[in-house]
Amino acid sequence: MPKSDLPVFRSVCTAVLLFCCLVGPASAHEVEVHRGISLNAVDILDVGLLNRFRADIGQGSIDEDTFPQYCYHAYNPHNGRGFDLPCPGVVDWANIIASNARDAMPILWAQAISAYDAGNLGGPNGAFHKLGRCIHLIQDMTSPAHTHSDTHIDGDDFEGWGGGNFLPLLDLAPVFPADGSPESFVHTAALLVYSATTWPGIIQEANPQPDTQFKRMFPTLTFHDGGFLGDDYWVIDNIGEFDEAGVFPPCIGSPSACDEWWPSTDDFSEDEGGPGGARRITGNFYVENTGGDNNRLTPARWRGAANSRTLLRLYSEELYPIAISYSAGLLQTFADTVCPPPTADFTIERTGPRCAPLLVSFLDRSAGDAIGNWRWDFGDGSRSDAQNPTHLYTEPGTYIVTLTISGDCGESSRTIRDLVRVLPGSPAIDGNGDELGGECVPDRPFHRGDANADGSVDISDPSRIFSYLFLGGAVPACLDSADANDDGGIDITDGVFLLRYLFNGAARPPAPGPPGNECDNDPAAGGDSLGCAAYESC
Amino acid sequence: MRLALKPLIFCLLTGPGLALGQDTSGRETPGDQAEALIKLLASRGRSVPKRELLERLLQNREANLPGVRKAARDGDRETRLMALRLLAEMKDPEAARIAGESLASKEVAIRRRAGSVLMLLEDDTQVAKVLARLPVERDSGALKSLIAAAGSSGHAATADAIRPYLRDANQSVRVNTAIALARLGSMEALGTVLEALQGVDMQARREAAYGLGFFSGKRQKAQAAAQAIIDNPAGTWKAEAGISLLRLELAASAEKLELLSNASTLRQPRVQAWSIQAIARMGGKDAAAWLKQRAALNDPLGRFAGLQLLMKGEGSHAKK
Repeated sequence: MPKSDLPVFRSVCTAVLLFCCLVGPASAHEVEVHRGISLNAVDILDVGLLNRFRADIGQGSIDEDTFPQYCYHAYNPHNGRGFDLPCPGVVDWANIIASNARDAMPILWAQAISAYDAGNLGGPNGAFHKLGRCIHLIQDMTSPAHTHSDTHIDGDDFEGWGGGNFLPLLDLAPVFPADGSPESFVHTAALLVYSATTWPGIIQEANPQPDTQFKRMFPTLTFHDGGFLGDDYWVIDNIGEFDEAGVFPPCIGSPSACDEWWPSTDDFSEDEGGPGGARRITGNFYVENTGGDNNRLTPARWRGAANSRTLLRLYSEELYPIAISYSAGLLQTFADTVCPPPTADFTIERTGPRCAPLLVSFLDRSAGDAIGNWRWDFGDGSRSDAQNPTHLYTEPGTYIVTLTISGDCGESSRTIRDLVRVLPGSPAIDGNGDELGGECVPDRPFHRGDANADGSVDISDPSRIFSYLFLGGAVPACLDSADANDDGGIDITDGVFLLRYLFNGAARPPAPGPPGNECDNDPAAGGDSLGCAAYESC
Repeated sequence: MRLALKPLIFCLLTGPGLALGQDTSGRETPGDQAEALIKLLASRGRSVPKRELLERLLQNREANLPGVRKAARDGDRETRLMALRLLAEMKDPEAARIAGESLASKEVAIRRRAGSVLMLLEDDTQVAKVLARLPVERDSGALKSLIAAAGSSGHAATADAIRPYLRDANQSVRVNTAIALARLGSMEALGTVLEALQGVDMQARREAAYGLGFFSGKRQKAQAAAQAIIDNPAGTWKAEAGISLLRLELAASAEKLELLSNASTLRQPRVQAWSIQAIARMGGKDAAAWLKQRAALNDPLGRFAGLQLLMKGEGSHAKK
């Protein structure tokens, strides 16, 4: 090509390239996997702020998959490399922000935080769209090809399969790498996936192949040294070939039979240590197109045990949960950074005695912004949505009270087990008839004449009555008990009535009578009740 | 997650950035370009789709052929291996002669490849060299390639020369001999193939599954054995068995193009690819028209069909 034509050619080439890449970089179902994983991650967190921008997060995770951004979508945790191709020498392009996903993450992350701080939240340049782009990087790390710096130009069964088979996994929890930095999400997820999809092995140009983990997984691993099926390549039934793979038939051009396994880049060595000096490759091996012919590839063994599931199924069960839980972890980290979650707390306002029935005022003492919801559980089956509710406890007991608050920045709960204790009995009353604060007298069925509530009627009872009436003694715990003659009042006749009953053989006190006569009825039927617990008639 | 990088790589290869095969004035020299492309094809560390490289090479087929021949004779080991195979796929008239010369190479890999090339070419011009090498060849892989070449030569007389290898200690050699005899019209060693199907030597087993298709003279038995592999959930080398079934059907069918056309739609990528390749080998107007029509579809098999046309020197009809 004449030199004078070069700039024109370069421009045309770039234009064609951009057009091709923009109009058809990826099939739609694969893109939709990113949206599915992203929304799944938002859903398992259920954080208000993220929920509100759920659509932006999903869209960002899709939009990240455009040229030339995807040039940095690979990261091999073993050697730190991204894709060898397709973007050599273009790191100065505006959108090529790094050479691999791990290095790209903090850059995108900073853009997302910056957009949030500037109040630019929604839309294609908003914080949450950029956050979606961040989690795309994590999700790509859970595709084996991306952690092996494999451009998977011939297709990727795992990603293709995911498009048709991905279902939300809602029982997952967010996962946070040890150091919690955004790039550590990429690195840790990539490391897990790299480890899960790489197997040590040795292949040699002489059969049988050495007994290695790779060979045990794929027992048909064989070197073809000549004859009707050609020469100088290794083959595994239902997976494909290595060395000749992708060049000539029958493999070439087929959708899933080419270049499907090979030693991991920079993770193997070659020598001539095979039988008779045969070439030998020692290292870690990786299967790109995990389905093999018609997606029926079933490794003989998996994790050292016999296996009956296809590699796609095995991958999906291990890799998709990583994609979701690590995406959720990063989303939660973002929410915690820009909008710290609230902290629930509360107390009660103490007033009066703690005897049942007790009215308690609860005071919200929670910290945090944008709290919009309060949910109180009073521990007795009752609930309230008020911020500072009051609640009437009718029964004695110790109640476990929980306050749950939620808002855009998340949710928080506080449970206090012994703050509310409602005592049995009635408020104690002093000599003036006033309640003694916080003291409760146990309620029990009264017995007429048992003025001092000691369970019997004897000389101490009229003494108690006279002490109360004439010597300033304490009020009888149960005035009905002291009303020995059941005339509706406490006076000298009650003391005299008891003395006559005890020492002159006079009639006993009216129903329910002294202890031992619990089955009598109270003839006044409560009409003259002086405040004691009702006697339960037989 | 998926990348669509082919346009980019095309531009890299055709644009000035990579500077494949340019002289001092910036002009590409076909020979240099051919060698550079072959080196890329042969490299294990490549990240460029081999199909792209092949298309690039074949789009300038005639100009590049001398460079490929030179590489097949004088290149380093990996380059020679790749160039020899390329010549065979391109059906270069010089390919058989270069392969015949290479049968005596000191490099075992080259000797294996040379025999394979003659087998692919179904060549009958180098038979004498092939038969002369048989008794002196000590490498079982190269020996198998020689046997395959002899069996593909169409010379029935070579059967006597290869028949003794039915008793070779190496099961894979025995299987290839049985297949070669079948190709030459002698169905005597189907038992050798059937025995290998039950063996533990996976190479021999695969060759046996693939070789069943040549036993059209014992069609029923061969068909049953291939079908048994496919029907067995734990059966291995099903694709090879499928190709054998197809080959047996073809031998008995008058509607070969229709049969292959249907097979190219089966959900078995290797059978699909093999069918398209077989159509390319058929020759004739109908087959060419079918290939062009298939190549017009912008999918992997369409591109494969386009590549077949390129191999035949008929230009690509695949969409970019």
